[in-house]
Amino acid sequence: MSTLTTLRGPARVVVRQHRWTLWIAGGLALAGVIILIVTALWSAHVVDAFESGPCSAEGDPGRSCYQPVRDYMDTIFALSKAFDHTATVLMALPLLIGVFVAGPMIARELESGTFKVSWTQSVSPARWLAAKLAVPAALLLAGVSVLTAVLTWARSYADTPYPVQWHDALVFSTSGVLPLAHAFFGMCVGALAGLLVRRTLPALTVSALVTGTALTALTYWRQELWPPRTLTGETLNAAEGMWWVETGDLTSSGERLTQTACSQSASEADRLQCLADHDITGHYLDYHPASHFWPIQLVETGILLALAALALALAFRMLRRRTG
Amino acid sequence: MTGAAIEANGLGMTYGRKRGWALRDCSFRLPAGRICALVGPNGAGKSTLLSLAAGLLRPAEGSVRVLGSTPAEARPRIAYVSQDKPLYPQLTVADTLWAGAELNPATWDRAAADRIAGPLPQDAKVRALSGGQRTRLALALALGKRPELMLLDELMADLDPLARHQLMGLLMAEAAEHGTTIVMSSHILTELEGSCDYLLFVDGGRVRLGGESDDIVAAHALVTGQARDLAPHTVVESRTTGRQLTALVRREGPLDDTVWDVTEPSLEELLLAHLRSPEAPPLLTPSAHARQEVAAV
Amino acid sequence: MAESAAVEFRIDRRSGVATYLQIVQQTKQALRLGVLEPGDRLPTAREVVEATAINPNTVLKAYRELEREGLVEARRGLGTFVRRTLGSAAVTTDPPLRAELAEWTRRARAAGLDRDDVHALFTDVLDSTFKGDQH
Repeated sequence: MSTLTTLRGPARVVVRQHRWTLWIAGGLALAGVIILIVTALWSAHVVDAFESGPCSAEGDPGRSCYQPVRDYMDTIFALSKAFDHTATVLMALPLLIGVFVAGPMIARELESGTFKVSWTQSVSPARWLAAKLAVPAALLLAGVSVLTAVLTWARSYADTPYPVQWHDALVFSTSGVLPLAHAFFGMCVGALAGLLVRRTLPALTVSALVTGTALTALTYWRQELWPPRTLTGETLNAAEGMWWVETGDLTSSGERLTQTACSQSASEADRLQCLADHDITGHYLDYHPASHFWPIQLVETGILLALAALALALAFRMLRRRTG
Repeated sequence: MTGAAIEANGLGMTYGRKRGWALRDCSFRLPAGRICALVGPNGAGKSTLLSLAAGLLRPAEGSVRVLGSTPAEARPRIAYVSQDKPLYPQLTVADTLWAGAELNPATWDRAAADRIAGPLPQDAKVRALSGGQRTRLALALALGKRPELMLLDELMADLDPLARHQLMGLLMAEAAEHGTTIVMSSHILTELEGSCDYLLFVDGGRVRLGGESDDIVAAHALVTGQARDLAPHTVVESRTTGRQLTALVRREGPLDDTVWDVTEPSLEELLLAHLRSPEAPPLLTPSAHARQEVAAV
Repeated sequence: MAESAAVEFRIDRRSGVATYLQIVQQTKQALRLGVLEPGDRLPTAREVVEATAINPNTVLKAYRELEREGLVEARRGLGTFVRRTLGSAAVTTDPPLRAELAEWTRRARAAGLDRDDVHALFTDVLDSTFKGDQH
């Protein structure tokens, strides 16, 4: 409680210092929300209008429906792009937040010397840093939550012919709790980079590089974050919504062959011969069912929060060691 | 309370091995309630000393205690104005004073801040202010905090003589009313001479003279006469022209004024003599001696 | 608001005279000339230093000196007040002494001494007469 009240003053000063940036960020978030809602409503309207007409997007449209179906698919595709663009921005947000915290917020104070003013008021350097982080943290908590919620709603509002794949990187990273974790991580990396590098441009560059690399790496290895389920058999009944991790052949002893050795066979006879030669008796598929959405989200969030906490601890420790 | 405003024991600071020591083996005591001139040539370690006392830097060795506690604990009771007068460039004058109130809620004295900042254009952005105006605003921020100790690094450098006189007057008035201890650094002694009653002379990272200005001056004498041995007095600087010897000495007992023409040096002569003679031993008056053990209050 | 002070001090940094002595001397001069009368308030240390930018302790030192000589007294929370005028009322109320000096000065001028000569002569006599006195 006392910490909160002593943070109030410095936090208000931080807001005043960066009010234009904050206004612009708020304006952009609002614009994003409006674009999403309008797009969702419009998509639904386009779908309704099409479905009440004589044509169907399923099966062969026939001559008279060829052009209407084409137009419909084009329109819906174009509209769904709006979701992708918003999602891309949301994915870039951690980088932008990190850049802002590292550069204009922290490194610029150290570079221009205004830290000497900040640290010689009645507020300790640690409180100063806490206030610098509390403001963006509160704003990103609000902004990212709203944007994520609206985006998730908008994607599912209209029943379009372009289904949303839950495991698509653009979708997975912009739904659930991950956007928050990403943004928080970006902010903490920014804080550490700002304090370490101490010069505006290099600091924000380092922050963007580190955050970008870390998030790309996590996206790349996301499938490994939770043990996948396995499907085996002579034929595989892969269902809709499965996230394929790995597929290949099985020998009679249960050994996995990741290369499907016989897919190049010229004829069915050759293929059977090839399977026999390799002792292949079936196939396997490692996959994540849709029910793995939350476990993977939570593991990735946990990793990011742990890294963010580490960055924060380092940042505060550095600040304490440098000042008296 | 007549405690120490600043007490340094073996204080040393370096900004990295290659750059050597900015400050070394500094031990002194500044009694509370004094107006202290911190003088010395450029690069002597004045700014480093003030930054250490303000808690902006952590000493590489030794310790500094401020108002009876660590600089960090004393932070709400210290005001510091850095040489380059940094201020948030994106804020206006009024915003800056508002920030002062927000950041020092317990002690903020709006009237004191306004007395200094009154003549400034309140809606002007800090980045648009002149050097003198920035100094005024920085000082307003410092005085508004109503500190017990003010650390002012080259405060007056950007001011014209009129503004300098006026701000110095206001500063002295605050000190007179509240018993504020003030440390002002400058490499120009005359800027501070009339206002200060205490002196810390730093040169080459060390404190060479410390104590009441009057006592320091009185401890020295400017002697002229026929060249002869000056023992037991400590010779700070001497010059022989023909048979005549001119010397600045530190008195060890009475000077024989039948052999010597003895006059009191000005503070400026004293400092110049010490600057020319880096070998002269340091002098701290009794009140400026650091006590090894800090007694509990 | 207290009534304004009766005098104002001018500090000359180049004079070589210690600052606190300048305040003591100017106060005494004002007492001698009747500019300051018993009951008058001296400017507060704050007022003096605000106008002159000198060290506050210097003002306090000067006032202590005046207090020690019984010329002023500090009333807690109110300020420092003049207790008595300086004894040598002769300066203003003894026309004979002044007339004698004026007569002497006229003669000196007639003898061909200029202003500086007269001043030097007077100061020399003054110094030898008051030799050994404190101020």
